[in-house]
Amino acid sequence: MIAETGSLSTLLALGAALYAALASSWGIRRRDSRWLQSGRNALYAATGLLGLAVLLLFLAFLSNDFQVSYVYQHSSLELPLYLKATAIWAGQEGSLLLWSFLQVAIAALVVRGTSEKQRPLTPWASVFLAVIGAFFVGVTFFLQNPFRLLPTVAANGQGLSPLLRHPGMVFHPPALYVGYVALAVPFAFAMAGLVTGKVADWPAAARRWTLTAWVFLGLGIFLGARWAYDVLGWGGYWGWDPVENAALMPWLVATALLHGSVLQEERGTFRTWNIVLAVLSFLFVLFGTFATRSGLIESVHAFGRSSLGYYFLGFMALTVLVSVVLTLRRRAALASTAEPRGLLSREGMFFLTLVVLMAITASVFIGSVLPSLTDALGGRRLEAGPEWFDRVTGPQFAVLVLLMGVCPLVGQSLASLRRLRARAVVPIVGALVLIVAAVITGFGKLGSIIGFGVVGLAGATILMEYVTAAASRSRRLDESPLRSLWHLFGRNRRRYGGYLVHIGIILMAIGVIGTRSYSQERDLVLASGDPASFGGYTFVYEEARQESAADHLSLIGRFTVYRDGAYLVTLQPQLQQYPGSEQNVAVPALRVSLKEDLYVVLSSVSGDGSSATIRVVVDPLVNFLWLGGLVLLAGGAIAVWPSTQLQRRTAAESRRGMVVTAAGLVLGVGIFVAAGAVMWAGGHGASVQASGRPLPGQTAPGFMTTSLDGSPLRLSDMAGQVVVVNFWSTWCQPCEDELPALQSVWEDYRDRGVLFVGLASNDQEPAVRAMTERLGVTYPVAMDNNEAIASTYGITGVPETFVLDREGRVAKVHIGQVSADQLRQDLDSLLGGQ
Amino acid sequence: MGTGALLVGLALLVVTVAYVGRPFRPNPTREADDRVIEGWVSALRPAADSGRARFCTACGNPLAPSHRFCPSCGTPVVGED
Amino acid sequence: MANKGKFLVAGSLVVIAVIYLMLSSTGSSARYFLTIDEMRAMGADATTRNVTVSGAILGDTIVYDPSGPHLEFTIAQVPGDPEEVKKAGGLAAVLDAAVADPNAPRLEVVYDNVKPDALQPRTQAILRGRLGEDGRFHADEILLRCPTRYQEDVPAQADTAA
Repeated sequence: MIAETGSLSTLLALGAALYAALASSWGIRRRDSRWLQSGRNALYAATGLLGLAVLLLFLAFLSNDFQVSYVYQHSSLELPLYLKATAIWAGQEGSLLLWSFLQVAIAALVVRGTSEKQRPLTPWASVFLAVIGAFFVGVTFFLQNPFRLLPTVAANGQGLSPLLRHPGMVFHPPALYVGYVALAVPFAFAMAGLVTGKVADWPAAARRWTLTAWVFLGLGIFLGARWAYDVLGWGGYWGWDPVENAALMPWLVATALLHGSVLQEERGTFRTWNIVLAVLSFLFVLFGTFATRSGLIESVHAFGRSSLGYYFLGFMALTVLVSVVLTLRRRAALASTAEPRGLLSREGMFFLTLVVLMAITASVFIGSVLPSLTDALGGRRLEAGPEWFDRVTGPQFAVLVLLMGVCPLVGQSLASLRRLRARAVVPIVGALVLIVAAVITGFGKLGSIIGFGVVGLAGATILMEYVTAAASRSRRLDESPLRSLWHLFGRNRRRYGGYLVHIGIILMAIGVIGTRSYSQERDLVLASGDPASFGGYTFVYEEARQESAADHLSLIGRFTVYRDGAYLVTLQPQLQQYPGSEQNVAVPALRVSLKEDLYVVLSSVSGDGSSATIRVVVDPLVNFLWLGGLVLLAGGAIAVWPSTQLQRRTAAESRRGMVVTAAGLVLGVGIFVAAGAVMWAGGHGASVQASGRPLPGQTAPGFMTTSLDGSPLRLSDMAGQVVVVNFWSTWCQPCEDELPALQSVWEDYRDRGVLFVGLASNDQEPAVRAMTERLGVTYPVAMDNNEAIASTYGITGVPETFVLDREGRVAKVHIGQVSADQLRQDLDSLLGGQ
Repeated sequence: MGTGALLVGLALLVVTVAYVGRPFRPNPTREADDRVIEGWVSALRPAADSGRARFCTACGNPLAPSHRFCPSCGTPVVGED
Repeated sequence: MANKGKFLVAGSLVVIAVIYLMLSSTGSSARYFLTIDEMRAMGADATTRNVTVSGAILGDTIVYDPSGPHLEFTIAQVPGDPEEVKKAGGLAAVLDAAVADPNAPRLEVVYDNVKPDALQPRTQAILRGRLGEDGRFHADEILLRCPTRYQEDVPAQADTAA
């Protein structure tokens, strides 16, 4: 019932979308408002029907309707509720349904557009958007219907892929999809501009939509990178995988389009560029879907090679055909009205920016299709790995950042070299400062120095831009400088939001340089209690334990981390096993700091738990990347924020506007604080104790106490002898089990200069006395009241045994029960040949 | 296909058709954003006085001021007067 | 018009520089994607540069020592051309045939790292690394693709599994 209704609803939506395209174009032809209204109503109806379909799919997940093939494949009875919602887009069919819904919804939003600039273009844009929407709905209904039923009803579903059971999956795919569908809007406006001949105005009409698409696509990419970092356990965030590239390429083209639009609005130039960029950004959205569905691109991800790709190929061909024909027909109108200024002008800088952005896009494109390309050219199949992409795009990104820094220096156009010289002081100082800072903090590789220099230059230029603008406004209007800065953002959101985006990119660049040229990783095999070092950190494996959650088992390793011999942090990476899936998910533990992240993944634990293998990744400066991403998105959000300046308003309206603005501001700030908290506040399997154990070779902390028989017990008195310190409790079974072993070893070694000390931790004196008497323990035992001594030794449980050498240094630590044989071995090696 | 689903589908169809067809009813109720549509229609009419080029609304072919029919597709040029 | 010319020249310079970057990187960092036969045919060349080779894992050859960690196994040749795989009845059939065929070219693989969970008999292993002087392949990276998952449509995972 649910599924059938969903299917019907999708089919009706397809009809409505097709009708909308026809009715609107008929209405345009006849200039008949009734047809236009009817077409608009059809878009609203299609949106409602697809919304209903998405809702019904969610309902099918909620009611565990495993007769629906899609629900069977991506859900199970045990799945937590929020994951049942995300399961809607866990597979191809559901994500296409969501895509269709968003595609039609955005068309419905566009037809509500009321601005003066949009008015003449909107009818045609709505026709194009309705056709695009109908294509997606049609593909969903006929080829990838998520409501397809199985002949039989299964008792339980196959469950969601473990990798997708992550809160990041709530936002990442929908954000990408919103970005994708919104990129159809500038395309539709560009086509509408060509059809109506109003080629001058469309970028301004589409601008908010282009920005929206750009922000959401950027958000999706950013969340994806963070998700990869948090979940995939390889310590990286970007692997130049074709699927990642598929999202990056439209975003890069959209970036170019935003810059091109600015110039077209300002000077009427870049008209052809902008048409091409709008078409390309839309094509790359289709291409991404086509390439990852058709098997054209070799990816490590498991792809179904479905016929779906060829429908997308067909639609791409149609898109190219329509846009080429329309562009050729309007080529006269596309000629720029203004003669371009010289290369060293704002225009020239923007031109170079566009060229470089497109060159990066082309590089990524060629890298993605290199295996198919070399195959087609008849040579050996070549594929481009991450090194290839890094090498090819790295210098281009550097040039881009450089342009970001030079462009504000040039101003409208470079009147004279003297002007440049006057303005270049601050940026050069900025570059030098960052280089020196980098070298001092240990980032002195030659290649990265160049990168830091470029970054410093660009950063200083942008900051200077803010400061001079705020200062001059402050002088002019006699405001406080901070207030001026605030007003700058209010007045010219696009410009100053854009600069904020640039600052975000600069911060990200620092992170990229750090992680790409200073990242280190190694696999370490750790036996319990034996320290191993890597990257300036020392790791001690303590224990592994198993915990079960609703839908999985977690194997949790516990590792103490030291830096420069001092206790730093305790990390607990996990290995999650999901029944019914052969895939384990490694949940890394992170120690976050501005300088570098320490990233530890649990690879395996030996059968008896005595040793563990971990992968350690040191990611320098990676937090600049995350911080930069947030700043970038904040800048984008500011730029896209509706301007209040343009419209004249009544008092009531402006009051309401204030409320909306304030609410939006609070919401936005809240989101950013939340995102920051998720990334940088606790969690991530890291915890800090008061102190750590002394490492082998370090002097053991001294103690002074009284044994149960009343004699003083001071570590300093025991110098010159080998000391075994055993922390235990009467309520701990392994402690009780090991006491006889300790006693027997003590009896054998007591005459060879070996002292034993038992410290009863977190315990009652009568119980301790009773147990030592019952088990015949004769070496001195003292109460460790309030765990005063235990805490200085940094123990994390009982029993723990420290073997100290004659100089009072720790020789060996046993975490957990120790056997007589192990102790004898330790003592023999310390006592040497005696 | 179950009868229930069929009925719900039919109901959806009726509601959709009624909504989409509403502008064609003899006395359509005016909606707030119908002004927007009127704006479109007036924007679609080429401004007679402006020096801007005119284009055929059907095929987009540029039109000279003297054209009464589009020389490319033959559509009558309307909305001038 | 002079400015337009300048724009053209500057743009072409950027494009030429990028083409040069791509060509030089392709020469040094791109990897050949080869079958076992093709790699053998390269001879000494295969020992000096990074290549990617793929094959079907022979289950009974997997030897893993977790203390190293050190992993050894042998792969059998599967066709490199996707079309050929399709014709032979899909990846699962091709992998089965490769494992069953005693005459298929084989390659011993050494991997000094933790054994991936998905390393199972009759999965397709895509190995990145280089051919050693000893005739064994020293892998830096192993990617695995199991036939059941491959035939299923799981692209959203692909969408998101960045």
